[in-house]
Amino acid sequence: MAIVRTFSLPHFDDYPVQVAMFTEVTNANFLRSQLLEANPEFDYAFLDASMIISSLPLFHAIAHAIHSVLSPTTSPLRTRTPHSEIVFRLHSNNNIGESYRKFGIADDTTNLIAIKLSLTPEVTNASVADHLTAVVQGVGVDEGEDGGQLGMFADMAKIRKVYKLNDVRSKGKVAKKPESKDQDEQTKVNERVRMERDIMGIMTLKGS
Amino acid sequence: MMLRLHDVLFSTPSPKVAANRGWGGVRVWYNDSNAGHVSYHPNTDSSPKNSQAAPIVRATTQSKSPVHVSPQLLCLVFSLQSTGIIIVTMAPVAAATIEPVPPVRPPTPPPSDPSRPLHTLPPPFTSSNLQLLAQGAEALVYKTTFLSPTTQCVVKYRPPKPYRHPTLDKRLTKARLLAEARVLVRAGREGVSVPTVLGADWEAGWLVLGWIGGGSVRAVLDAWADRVKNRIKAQEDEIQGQDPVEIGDEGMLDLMRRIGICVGHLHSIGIAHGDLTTSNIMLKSPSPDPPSTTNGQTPVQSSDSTGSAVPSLAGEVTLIDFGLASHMMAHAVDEEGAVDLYVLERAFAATHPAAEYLFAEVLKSYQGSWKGARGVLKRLDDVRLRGRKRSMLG
Repeated sequence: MAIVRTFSLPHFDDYPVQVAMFTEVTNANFLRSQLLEANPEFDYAFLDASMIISSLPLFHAIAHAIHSVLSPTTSPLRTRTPHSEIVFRLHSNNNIGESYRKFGIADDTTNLIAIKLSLTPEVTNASVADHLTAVVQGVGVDEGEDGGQLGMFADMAKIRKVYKLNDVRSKGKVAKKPESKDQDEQTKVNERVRMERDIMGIMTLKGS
Repeated sequence: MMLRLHDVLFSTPSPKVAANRGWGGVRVWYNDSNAGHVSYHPNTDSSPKNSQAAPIVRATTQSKSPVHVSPQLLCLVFSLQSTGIIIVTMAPVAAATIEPVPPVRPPTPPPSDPSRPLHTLPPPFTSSNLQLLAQGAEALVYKTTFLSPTTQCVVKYRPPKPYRHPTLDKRLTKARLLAEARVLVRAGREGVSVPTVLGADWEAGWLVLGWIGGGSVRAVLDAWADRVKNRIKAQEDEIQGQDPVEIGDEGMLDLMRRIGICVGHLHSIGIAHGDLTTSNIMLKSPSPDPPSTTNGQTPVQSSDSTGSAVPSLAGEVTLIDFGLASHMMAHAVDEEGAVDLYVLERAFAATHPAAEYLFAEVLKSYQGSWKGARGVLKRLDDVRLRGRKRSMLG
């Protein structure tokens, strides 16, 4: 059963976006094959949820993808479809294939985020929910009203590696030794916030 | 035929020829649509090449009718014997009378509507939830939300400049936005407290930055200066003179130390801010809204804290406005760092004379913050003598 949430990004009010999250997905390889065949029924952005640290980078990619659709003169689509643009925008460089390998669905993906842009009025929350329920074999997860839970499957080590977040930090020598468990928890949250901030910057500077 | 002579362009063909012959060619342009051309070659006795005795006036117009050039005009033109170009505005020439031309009035400016901003943001930004914060020579700064309804942000928009060539304008805008974003991302990754970069479109000229709640150091200093003034006034009745040590309380000194460390950190990673003033240093509100996951809880707006209440000294020292920032070249670290500090010093001095004492505390903590600080401070003495700009030689 798919739990689809509809998000309306500020300034893109006319183009809501449907986001569904799944865990224990068993037919990732079927979904991926459909993507490869460019089946129009499967025009989604299927993402590996372990690569999404929080809602902000995801919304960044979505916002810029919609922006590319709306303003092709200043920010043209670099990929074929708006949905592939979302996957592409998440990556730190301009390699489309690489961004699919790193952020897109793989055959062994179990935690999945499916995104559908409502660029036409036919695409609604209900239609997306029906279709995803039918095709995705997995357990729907609620990502929260504001998308706060989108980062719940994040694999920090993998994300760090993809965005090359270790290089600078180790040189900076700013790491402080945590003194208590409480502080440890606090530094973890801070670290996450900082990573998120860095990722946003890296995504914005992407390819330039 | 009556022609309005508006502009007379006077030029010598070339300095050599002009010196040889002692005259300059004259061209007369008419502002009318049936433009004519008059050339005048006077022959002086010193001109051996031209044997004609009388001055020649040739005139042609589109209508092929003769042009009457008044003797007054020619006299005026030839009294202006100099190299270069002189433009003389003439009254309409009717026979031999010269009437004054009404003075040129500047065009009336278009009606301005105060409710409508001067420039409108390009798509995707809609006017909803948009608030103009500041306008500089280069950019407009708006406050709005981006990515999620609870993510407050600042949009920095560099509007196109109509006086520049469009291609050049686009390239400059892109290069400058990109430079600003690069510096911000780099500084953020190195642990300097700066706004987050949330998104951008270089071609359209906008950059979205994270919102920094809290007030500026400028507001803190102004409030402090008021307090100092009041205290001095109160004490003048009893004791003459004020010991400068009493001016700064421990809270202010601690803030100065934090500013010094922050600036030192920025310089230590090789970035010069370029416009380091007290209003470009913010105090991030102590309970910051993490970029995501928190909902509600709007951060304190800067306008609230600049009121009559004493602005809080708490909060992380955060630098904003990196529009003029640059990566320092290895050989110019001292120079650019010193200029940063000098600009900051001027900003301190502008608030209150006693602020110099506070700034000394900034420098003290700056000195201990990184290993290149000594050289920068040494150079600061030179910069103080000559000012912000390098002396221009040649």
